[in-house]
Amino acid sequence: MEYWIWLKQIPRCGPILQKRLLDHFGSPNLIYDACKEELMSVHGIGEALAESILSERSLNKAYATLEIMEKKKIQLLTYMDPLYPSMAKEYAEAPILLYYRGSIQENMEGVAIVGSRRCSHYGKQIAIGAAEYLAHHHISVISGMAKGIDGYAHTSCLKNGGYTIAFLGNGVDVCYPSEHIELMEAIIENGAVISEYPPQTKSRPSFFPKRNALISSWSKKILVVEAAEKSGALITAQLAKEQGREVLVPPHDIYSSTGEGTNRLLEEGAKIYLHPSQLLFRREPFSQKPVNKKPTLRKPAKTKEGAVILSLFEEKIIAYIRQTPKTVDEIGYALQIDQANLIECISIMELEGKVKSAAGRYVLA
Amino acid sequence: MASIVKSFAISGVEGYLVDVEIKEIYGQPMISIVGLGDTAVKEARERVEAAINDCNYTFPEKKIVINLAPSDLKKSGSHFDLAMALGLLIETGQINSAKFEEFAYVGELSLNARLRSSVGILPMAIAAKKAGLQNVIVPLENVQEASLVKGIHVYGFDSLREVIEFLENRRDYVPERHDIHVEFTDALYKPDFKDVQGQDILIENVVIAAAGGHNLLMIGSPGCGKSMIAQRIPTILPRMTDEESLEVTKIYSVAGGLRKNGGLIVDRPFRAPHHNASTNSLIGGGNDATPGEISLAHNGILFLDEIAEFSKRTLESLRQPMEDQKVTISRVKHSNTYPSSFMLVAAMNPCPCGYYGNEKCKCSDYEVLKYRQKISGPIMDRMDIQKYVQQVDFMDLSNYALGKTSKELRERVKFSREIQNKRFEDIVGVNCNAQMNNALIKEFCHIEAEGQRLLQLAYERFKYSARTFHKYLKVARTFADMEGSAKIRKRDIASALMSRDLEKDRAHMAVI
Repeated sequence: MEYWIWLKQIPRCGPILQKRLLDHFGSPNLIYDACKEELMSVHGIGEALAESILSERSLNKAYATLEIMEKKKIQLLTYMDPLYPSMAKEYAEAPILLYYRGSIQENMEGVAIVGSRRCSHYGKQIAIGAAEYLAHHHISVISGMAKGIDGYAHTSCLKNGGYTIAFLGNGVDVCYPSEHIELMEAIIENGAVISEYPPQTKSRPSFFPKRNALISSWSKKILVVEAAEKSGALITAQLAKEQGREVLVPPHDIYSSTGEGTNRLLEEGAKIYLHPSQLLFRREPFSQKPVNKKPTLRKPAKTKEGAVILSLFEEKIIAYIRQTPKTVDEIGYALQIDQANLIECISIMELEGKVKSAAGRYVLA
Repeated sequence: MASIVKSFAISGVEGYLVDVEIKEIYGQPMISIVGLGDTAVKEARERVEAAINDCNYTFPEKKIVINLAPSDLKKSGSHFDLAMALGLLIETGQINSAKFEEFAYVGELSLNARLRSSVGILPMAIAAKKAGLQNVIVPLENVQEASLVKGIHVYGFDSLREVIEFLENRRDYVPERHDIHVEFTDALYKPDFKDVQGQDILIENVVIAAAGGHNLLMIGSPGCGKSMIAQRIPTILPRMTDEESLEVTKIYSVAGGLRKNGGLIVDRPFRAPHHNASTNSLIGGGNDATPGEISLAHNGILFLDEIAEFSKRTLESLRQPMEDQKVTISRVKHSNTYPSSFMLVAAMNPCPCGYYGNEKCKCSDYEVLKYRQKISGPIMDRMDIQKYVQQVDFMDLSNYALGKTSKELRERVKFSREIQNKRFEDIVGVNCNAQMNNALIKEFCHIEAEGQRLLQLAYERFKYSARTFHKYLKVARTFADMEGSAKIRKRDIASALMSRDLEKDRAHMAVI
């Protein structure tokens, strides 16, 4: 393994050359032992590069990395490994070596869900809904564990018992952003975090495009949930198009800046995303179920006299908060219900699961 | 024989009697002050010498020893000056007074022999009364403060000369009239709850918090009125009893908050330290182990605005004083115990950007959670009531009825406090519902059958822990007390279940 680590870190020798070397020599230790002339016989390797490969000939770094990996239970996925998805190998610049924590499934087939870090509530709903759907259909969710859409996609998938993979722009033992530490642990438990960067590498802006390429190359389809004018998600979409992946994009409000990038993708010919069933690989007939489950009104139970009055209030309240979340004060003023009755009524409705509160405002559950 | 003059020293918030002993001995001219005094005590020699010369008396050219007895207790402050100067003059026979032993003396001397005010006068006056001393001479500016203690005669003078003339019967004491009884009136308070509009539900919860002594956390976006409400909470608390007032005044006296013409403090304290405050400034500390904000907020309100911005260590240090209602500060030289029974009112933003729940908030749920976790579980646990403060639409304000006045609200708080006082009459250390322990909850929180059913429902739905349940019961108890109900009714439970907004948020977050 140390030879793989050594090969991966040779400067000025990218994945394409590395693969050529592998093809020529068969295994990394043979490359390590090769002499200058042998190296130069590979197409694309000149004298300067061959000399630089020879000058790099030391396994000290690799051994140090292996030591860290053992401590932190980090595993290696080489290009030769049967777990390395053949789909991912189609990408010419696919790295020859990946570090990962967790478990990688055989014949991995997944859908990527990516989007902006500062996402809108709408984007959040789409990400959560799509990931949930995929989890229920046993399709892996692939994303980048960034803030916002990425985080929601992983979270929703895991909450619904799914398998998820996160590609990082830093070492797999580094948690970025730091508030995702629990999420990261959960992903390792029920999926994998993967990175081409050795352990302890801190993230750098220049690392993220490469990470994005990995996301798209490992996925069959890509859902770009939300992206502003300039966004990493757009890079992923671009790479995905180059790699021949299907890019799906939900429509956005044309006046909001959060959806500018995604709307542009639609304009450029990306597939419009309207229902999660579009993410399945074998298209099932378009589901009849609408995306949003509209809450159904329950008939008020008329049992006792007090209950009748309450249910009268209930009906009014439900009608009032149907559209937008309202504070208790707003409900009180609008419906002219006195405070004590109102509090009692809403509290009981909440207990019965008819309404729910978020940030102190009430909506239909 | 040495001359002995009586004075006082302070330890914590208590004063004690000190004998200032002065002896003239043949030897090299020098003055030596013993009895574990600090620098302020030692420097008295210069002030005393200047003051004596200023009054046209002679400073003795012999060896002088001044001892502050009991000599094994550490003493600090400049208020021994007067006693030392008088002692010297008596010891050297420059003044003759038959009655000087009937008095105790407190006061700092200026270089031209005027008397300057001192800190800690109130505890000293109390110590005088305890020691059976009838008469105390203090600087004029401290007369009001000392006069708070009934049953002793307080004499206020402006200079050393006046004191000497009085002691030698060359001057009569004409007390200056002071109106020491301060009425508790609404005029004292500018802010009033009637200024707060469109926040009725929140104010109801604030009233409950004030009535039951529950700690309160307000969560809201910037500018929604958290601080405005907090500032008004003291206006709805019932006025302090004489005993409480005295306790508070003592603390302020020691902390130097009463320096000039300070009388009894009748308003409940409202302390709002900035979130940059150090642990010691909050808890108490410094060289002399002086009281911190939590003691200055004793019997009143400690308002921590932007509580999430306080350092974690500082917040954690509040836990023990909140539990014990007192705090012991230990330093190399001193170890003092101060009372710290306060109502904690805190305010914070709901998320890093401050607009959680609003369209413009783009914080991820993980960020929101991380932000809220800055306040540790144990501190959050002590916040019985956690309510969102909603932004009120300014244009809509006219639609809302004018708020209730502080006076109305105070009456309600008073009503429920009286019920609680009766309930906890025989229980030491418990004054309000918030302080009930599990045994007391069992004893005093009887719930009607319907309420019980509601609790069962809540348990099934939200899977509350036993601890959370007790919290709700305590709050429900206060809701019931507000209306004088002996049993906790269904509506009290329903209202109590609405008093902790923050807990419900997590259920809707997309987090692991």
